[in-house]
Amino acid sequence: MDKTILELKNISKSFGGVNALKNVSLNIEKGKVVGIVGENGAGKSTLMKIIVGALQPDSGEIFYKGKRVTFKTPLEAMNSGISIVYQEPNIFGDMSVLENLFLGNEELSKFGKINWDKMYENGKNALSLVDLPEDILSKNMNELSIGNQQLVLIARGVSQNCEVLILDEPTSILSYSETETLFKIIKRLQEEGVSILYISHRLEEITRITDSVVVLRDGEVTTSMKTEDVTEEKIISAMSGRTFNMDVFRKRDLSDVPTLIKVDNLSHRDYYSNVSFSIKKGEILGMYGLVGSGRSEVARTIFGDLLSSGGEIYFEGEKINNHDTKSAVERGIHYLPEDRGVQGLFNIHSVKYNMSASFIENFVGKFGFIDRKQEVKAVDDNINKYNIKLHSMDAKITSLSGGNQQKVLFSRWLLKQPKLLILDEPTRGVDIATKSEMHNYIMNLASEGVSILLISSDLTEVLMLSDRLIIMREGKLVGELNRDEFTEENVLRLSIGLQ
Amino acid sequence: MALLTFGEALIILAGKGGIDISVGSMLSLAGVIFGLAMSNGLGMFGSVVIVIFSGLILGAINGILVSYIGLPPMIATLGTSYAYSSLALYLTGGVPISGFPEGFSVLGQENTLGIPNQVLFVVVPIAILTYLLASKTSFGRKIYLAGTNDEAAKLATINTRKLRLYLFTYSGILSSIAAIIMCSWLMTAKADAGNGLEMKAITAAVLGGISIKGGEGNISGVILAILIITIISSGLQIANINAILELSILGIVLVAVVAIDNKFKKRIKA
Repeated sequence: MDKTILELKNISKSFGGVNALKNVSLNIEKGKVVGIVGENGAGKSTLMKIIVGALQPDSGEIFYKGKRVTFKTPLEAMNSGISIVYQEPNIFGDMSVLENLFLGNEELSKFGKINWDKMYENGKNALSLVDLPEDILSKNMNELSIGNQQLVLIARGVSQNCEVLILDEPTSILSYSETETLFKIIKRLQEEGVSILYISHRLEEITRITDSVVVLRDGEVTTSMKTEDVTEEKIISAMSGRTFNMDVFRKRDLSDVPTLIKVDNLSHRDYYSNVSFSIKKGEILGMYGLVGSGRSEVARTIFGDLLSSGGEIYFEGEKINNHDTKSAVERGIHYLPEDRGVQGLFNIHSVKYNMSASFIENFVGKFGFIDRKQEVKAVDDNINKYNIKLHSMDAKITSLSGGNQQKVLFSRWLLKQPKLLILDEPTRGVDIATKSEMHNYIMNLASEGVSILLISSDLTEVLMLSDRLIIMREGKLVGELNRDEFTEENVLRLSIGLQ
Repeated sequence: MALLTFGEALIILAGKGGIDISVGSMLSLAGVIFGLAMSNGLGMFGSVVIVIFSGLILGAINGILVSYIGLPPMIATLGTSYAYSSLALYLTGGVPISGFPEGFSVLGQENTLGIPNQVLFVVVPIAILTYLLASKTSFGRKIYLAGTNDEAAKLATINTRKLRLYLFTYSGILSSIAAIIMCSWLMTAKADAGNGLEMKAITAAVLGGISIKGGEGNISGVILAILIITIISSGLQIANINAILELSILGIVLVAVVAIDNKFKKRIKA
């Protein structure tokens, strides 16, 4: 028993009548990496916040190194050795890396003066733990890449004699190589005896770096198992209480099908150059690349939201260079943007308003008035068809879970049947059950003859759904693979530039 | 004041820092143009057409500066506000234009069924029109969506530039209609007729629950706010309180209402 460093006993927490956590008990041993998985809203983040004292449990006890503890703030927990790094980097961009490292924990000398020399020394040591060079200490946080910002926060977490480190979806914003660095650091910390709680949506990461996995569903621990015993199906059914067919791909014969869109040497001064590809009717073309590789910009050009500086786009044989979004939609080109919050949601408005936004004109009756009955009916049909969970279509969109919000945006574009549907990161930040549902919808659309350009940095997703795959790196198309050539290794090699 | 408020409310509602500081100056300039047209013998009908058309142009200039040249609305309309009011002053040479025909005062000074004609025949219809526009039409829906998230609205194929151009134009037209009423009421066209009205219009819009960040609020609230402000000012007149104090009372009401509203909203959230 002396191997246990952190023990949770019957933790419960409710928010206004909703049980976020029900009698959760957990044991974390020294030097182990424990993966925590669960759908959005399963209670993962709440549980982590309770451990570090950002929230107080309604009942239950936490034992740390055998002693009962109640932390009042995350800072208090951190000083005792339990640190948390949140999903979105919590940074002060205009302050230096050094200041960010010691925020709220500055080294003080007599009379409350900040002891910069000592802090610099400590900062250097902290950064060496995460393989960052010391000369960035004086840089502004904003000058670092998001990945390095995340690493600085981890350094902040582990610098204070950390014994338990909580990482909340650390890789969701990291690139491939940054993720690799993070994994190396996790391994090293583990060897030094630090226990790590690792929250993630990505099963391949969970199976790679954890020793055991705990699955949460609706605030309860449904399964906890050794990582050796983990299979994707087991995890998913534990998460959702249902079983899923992961193999959604359906083979269709596309040999005699005409080409729908042909992109020829498309270029943009700032974002990409000489991009050429074509998509057949009913084909799913995957586009893989890291954030910033120009993939979204190519999509937005086809949709008419960005102007190209060279090259041509042919749609159904017709040249459609630099058309606008309105005529794109009239032609049947629909685009689900990458960033749900910034580019998709009207967050103070209802589900109904959010769903009908792109096609309000379709519901216009006499004198430009909106025909409410027609609108309600169309929205209602979509809610049923895509199994969106809500109390009412007049509820605010923000009251829905992330997965359901994404379904609303996805089905917004299906109020009218598109010819080409461009999906930009359609399942980012979406729980696995919803993801699997959406994969089915995408496959169904393709079977109905809708062409799909699927942009994703989720490798499993593009490999699973695409008929063909193109890979972008630094604004250029660096490769094209047919389905029979699909392997993770092939794709990753191309996307990071190994030959 | 009421008419200016409707234009203002829609512009604020459409978000992206939308605000029109030039409504007062547009009213002044449109009034002067109306006076000049009348005194040059264009007749009532011709003058009305010309003044509404010039309101449309003045508003459209604001709209183009904001939507197509990309100036922040606050700066763009501050600039045009100076330009419009100095132009109005230049055209009159500082001397009010009078000499409107007797019958013209019907609109601004007389009543039908105990209701002032200007309210019955102009303000009420435009209030209804604006209400329907904002809450029942697809155009209105687009205003709300663009006001909430401009980027998302664009990607939902809403032409937000055109939308804002139309709204600034609408505001210009309403200002010119207000100018005609003002001329009829005073029976003169003064180059400073609209001074300070822009702030009153903004006040009424905000008091009516239009979120200054855009996307939230409705026209019925604005109508209510206009009523309240009108009642306060005529109440103060009847109670024989110095007119100079009217503005300070209005200011206090504004701050108090918004403060109470904030407090209330926070409590609901907690």
